[in-house]
Amino acid sequence: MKHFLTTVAAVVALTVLAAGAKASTIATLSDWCVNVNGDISTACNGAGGGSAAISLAGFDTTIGTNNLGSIVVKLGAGLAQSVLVYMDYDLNVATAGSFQDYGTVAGTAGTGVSYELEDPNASNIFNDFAGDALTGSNTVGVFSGPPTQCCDVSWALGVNLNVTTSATVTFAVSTTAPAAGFYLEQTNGQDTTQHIFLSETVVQGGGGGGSTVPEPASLVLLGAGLAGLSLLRKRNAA
Amino acid sequence: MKRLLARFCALAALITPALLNAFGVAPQANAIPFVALSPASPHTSWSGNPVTLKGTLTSTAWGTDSFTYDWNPGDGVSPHCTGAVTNPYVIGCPVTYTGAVGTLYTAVLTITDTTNGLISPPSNCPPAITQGACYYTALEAPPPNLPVEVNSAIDNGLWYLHSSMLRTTAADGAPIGNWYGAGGNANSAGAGGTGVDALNCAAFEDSGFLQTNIPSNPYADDVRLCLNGVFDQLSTIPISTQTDVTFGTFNPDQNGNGIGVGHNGYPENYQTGMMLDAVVASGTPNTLVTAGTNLAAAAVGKGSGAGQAYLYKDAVYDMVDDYVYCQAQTEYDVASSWVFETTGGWHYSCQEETGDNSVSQWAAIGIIPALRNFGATVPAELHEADDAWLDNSFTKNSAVNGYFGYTSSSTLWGPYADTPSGMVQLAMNGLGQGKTTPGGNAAWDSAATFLRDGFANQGDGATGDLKDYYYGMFSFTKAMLLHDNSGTGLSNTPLSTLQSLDDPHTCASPVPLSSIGSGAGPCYPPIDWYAAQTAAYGGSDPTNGVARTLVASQGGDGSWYGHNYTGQQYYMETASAIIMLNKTVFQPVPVACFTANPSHVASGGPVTLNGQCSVDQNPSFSLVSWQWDVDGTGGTNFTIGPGSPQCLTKSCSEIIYNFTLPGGKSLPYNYPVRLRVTDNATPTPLTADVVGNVVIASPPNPPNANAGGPYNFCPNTTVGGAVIYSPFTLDGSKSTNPDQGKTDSTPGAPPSTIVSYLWDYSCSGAFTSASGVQVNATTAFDQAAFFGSSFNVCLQVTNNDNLAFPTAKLAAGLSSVASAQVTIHQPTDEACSHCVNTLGGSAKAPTPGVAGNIQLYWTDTDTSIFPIDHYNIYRSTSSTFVPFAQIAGAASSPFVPAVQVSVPAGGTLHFLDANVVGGTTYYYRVAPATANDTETCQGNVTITVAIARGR
Repeated sequence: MKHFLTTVAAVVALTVLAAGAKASTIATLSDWCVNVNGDISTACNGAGGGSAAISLAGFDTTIGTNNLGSIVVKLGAGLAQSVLVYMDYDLNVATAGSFQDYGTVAGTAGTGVSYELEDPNASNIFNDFAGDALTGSNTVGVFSGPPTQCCDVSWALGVNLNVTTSATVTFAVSTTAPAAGFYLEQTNGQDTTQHIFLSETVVQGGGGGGSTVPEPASLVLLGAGLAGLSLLRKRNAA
Repeated sequence: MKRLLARFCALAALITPALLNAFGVAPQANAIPFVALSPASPHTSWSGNPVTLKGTLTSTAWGTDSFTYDWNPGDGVSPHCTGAVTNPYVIGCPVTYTGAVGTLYTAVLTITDTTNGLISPPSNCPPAITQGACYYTALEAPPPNLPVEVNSAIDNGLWYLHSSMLRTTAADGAPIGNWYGAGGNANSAGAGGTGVDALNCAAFEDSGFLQTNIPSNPYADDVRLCLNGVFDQLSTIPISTQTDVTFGTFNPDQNGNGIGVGHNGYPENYQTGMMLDAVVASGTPNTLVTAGTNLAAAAVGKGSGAGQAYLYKDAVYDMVDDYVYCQAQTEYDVASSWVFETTGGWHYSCQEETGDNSVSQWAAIGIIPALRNFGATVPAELHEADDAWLDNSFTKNSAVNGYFGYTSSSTLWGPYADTPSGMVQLAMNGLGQGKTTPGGNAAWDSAATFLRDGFANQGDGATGDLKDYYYGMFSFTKAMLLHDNSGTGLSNTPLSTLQSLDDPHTCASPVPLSSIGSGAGPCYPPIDWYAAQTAAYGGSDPTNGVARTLVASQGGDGSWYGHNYTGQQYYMETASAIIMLNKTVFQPVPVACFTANPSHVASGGPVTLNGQCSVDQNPSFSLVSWQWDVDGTGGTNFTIGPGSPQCLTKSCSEIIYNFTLPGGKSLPYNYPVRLRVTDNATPTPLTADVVGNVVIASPPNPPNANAGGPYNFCPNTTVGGAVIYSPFTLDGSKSTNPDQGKTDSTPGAPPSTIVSYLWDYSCSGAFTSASGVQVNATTAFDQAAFFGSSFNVCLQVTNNDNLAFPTAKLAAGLSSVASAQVTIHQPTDEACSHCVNTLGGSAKAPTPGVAGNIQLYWTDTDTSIFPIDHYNIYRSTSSTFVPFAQIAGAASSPFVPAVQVSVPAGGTLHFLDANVVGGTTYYYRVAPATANDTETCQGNVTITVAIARGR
């Protein structure tokens, strides 16, 4: 059996939809970027559309109204590798603007996991992301109305890991919350039914075709009727 | 110590009002406003028209001190009127302004207390005028100009009534005002007695002057006094269930307090209806009947207020109960037992044997507003009995032609007196157009036909001419405005035309009820009974309507007389003429007003028409709709209204229209435009019309000055350490130049353009206050002395047509002047509660491929009590906010919709400004506005910096 490592403490096979989550959440993407071992030139808004190692096939890169999705990064063997993503979404922007969201950190970050939630306009979050120096802070966690309007939320999430043979890191942005584990959440302060979630899964030894770890939404279908059970799904080595 | 205290008490007792005055109580000069709720709205006149500047004095020292006055007409030409004040209620000054259409004059009444040397402080004046009350007059197009002439006639008529009012004290102590005791002109037609006081009171109320207006408005005080006088002339009678041979048992006492209320003299059934009108027109049903009046003493414990306090609505309900109880009735001796039969209608006194249509019209004119406006109720028996009375007093000429008599079918006073009396009763009973009475008479249609067929008659009073007998013309006007054919008497479907059904097969269409008709008689098409005008007045009607008739017959002192059965009826005839001219249904009416920008345009050119200067004088309602007739006739074919593509605002208060010279006309041509404004009054919305001109002309044309506004500034104040509501900016950027860019092709001639914007904060004619298309007047206006005042500022705009069109040999560029009303509110005013004091801004920095933007956030300030509709957004790159531009709202270019209020109110609102440049500091102002785009608080600035993220 391949060694299994995930920064999510346990990937929950059976999930339930987060209370209050609605399909009507309208997310607008303003900026995004992927940092693989310090390189932000191959998959980044305005700089690159992906590579053999960075799959954007399941990720909507449209600037504007956006359908979210997942970024999949494949790593070869090597010590002290890093993968990070940076994203700037706004929720319900047409009627609420960009500055009415707030960020939440759910769960406990695992070993090697780093994150940061900050205002994208007046902070160092992008530089921290580019330099693999995320601060583990959330400075946009408290919503407030006029005149001290807060917040415009951007988030960055990453992992540092040693890869023995290969690994697959998946960053999933969804309107559905993971049932458990560590993830980031962005909520619209004026309409708290509007929110999105960013989670991260790592599978050591990945390399085969297809998704290494099912996304929570898919698992809902797979797990229907198994309510209350947890299923740890592992992928055998090819 | 005790001795010292005793001395102090003795001194305090000696401090009388007179002594206080000696220590510094200044006299208060008051200028009569044209619009009670908009004291800087100018009185309307025209060049060469003699007018009277109208003012009063208020001082606690009147009677002890001496006073002098100085009226400065403000045109720099007319002499001042000066002298000792002999009557504090009447301080007039005759003046004849001569000038161009649109010229605004600011006259000032200054009063000096010569005993203590103090001078009246400023009242509704611009900052440069530091003493006295300001009185504004604007010149409009000269006659024939019916709306302006009507305004002038009402203005002068009210001053006549104000000037002739007797101010005294009731026996029970209340201050009262009346006309009945004022001399020989008080006779109330056949009504006699003191009904004239109530009708005169209603004339002020229907013209927009209510006792709830600000105290410095002299007419508001007149209404307070005359309403007190009305209540002093009312008394109570016990009433109870009636048993009738026809109707059985019914209860006149609809509010169950055991009393009816009626006039305390004779013949009481006339006066009570007039008094009902005056009380209903107050618009304040829950106000306490004034203590110290006869009614307040008589009705103790009979009211519906706290502790059985007696309210206006109680008085109204009990007056209606009194009319139900006092209907005419006949007694029979049946088997040695008396029985009663209610025969319907009313005679002079309670329960006389037969009806009298002259009396009954006043019952109807009073009962209708009580039912429709104040929620009074009557038993069905009242309508049924009155229907029977109407049948008994009706004479049928043909199936659709007939008239009403006086105390029977006989017309003692002439059919043009009694027929309208019957019609207004039909309106009360819901038997209007197309309805038949229980007796089978098409009474309304027959009476209307009779009056229409004789509408062009000339002279002979009530015998031959409705318009020569104002008593009848008044009830006719009420009947048309209060018309109802629902069968209930509670609906209001006013009729704008008077229709004859004679000879329906040959009359011009539309002819209603074409299945009936006499087949004989003259053929008269429908006529606008109010506004019809003959060719002599620029119209095309065969005869004049009510408005032109009244305007043409007003005396030089503002009164009307000689059009009733006695020539004495100055006061009553004047009051009824004012109410007819107002075309109102027992409540203040809207006033229509618009400006054209540019006022001169080349054929086919666009003109912006702005009707936001219109006002609703009734504080309980607001204007909701602006409709425009631009077909070139000046008629009532309103093809542009809310929802039309030409509208720039939701209510269509502002439109853009291209004006083209009609075929066969030559330049310059005055193209007529009619505006109709409509409010949300219940049960029937009220309207007002105004007709103005757009001049289609060839260059050179003067520019069109537009001073912006109306401006509603709230004083600067500090909230949370930050100054809000600043600055006060005036905007002349809507001024236009119809010749813009043109020349007469002379080599070297520069293109026509505006070269100067000069401001005059006093409208004194000296345009030296400021210069520039937009100016910051904060320093001049944000002073405590001006809080709570309204005044006008003027802007002079000049072009360079002397250079652009050298062949015209102009000595200088052409100029025009416009004015705008400025109101500096008290910080506590309701309007200031709308000021946005939560405005914040944040910058969304640019990213690759994505432009940055600035986002504004604020909390909605809309309230149900003082509703607003949207917010206009302004932006500047200067900390002084000059220059600035509207970036969202009707005047934004490119057009960006205004931000609508939140639903529900009080939510967070958001605006995104995507047209920003990184690194620039922007200043924003958010202005709440009503549906007609009147900004209720022009204030609030926030500073935002558009920043780059550095990625």
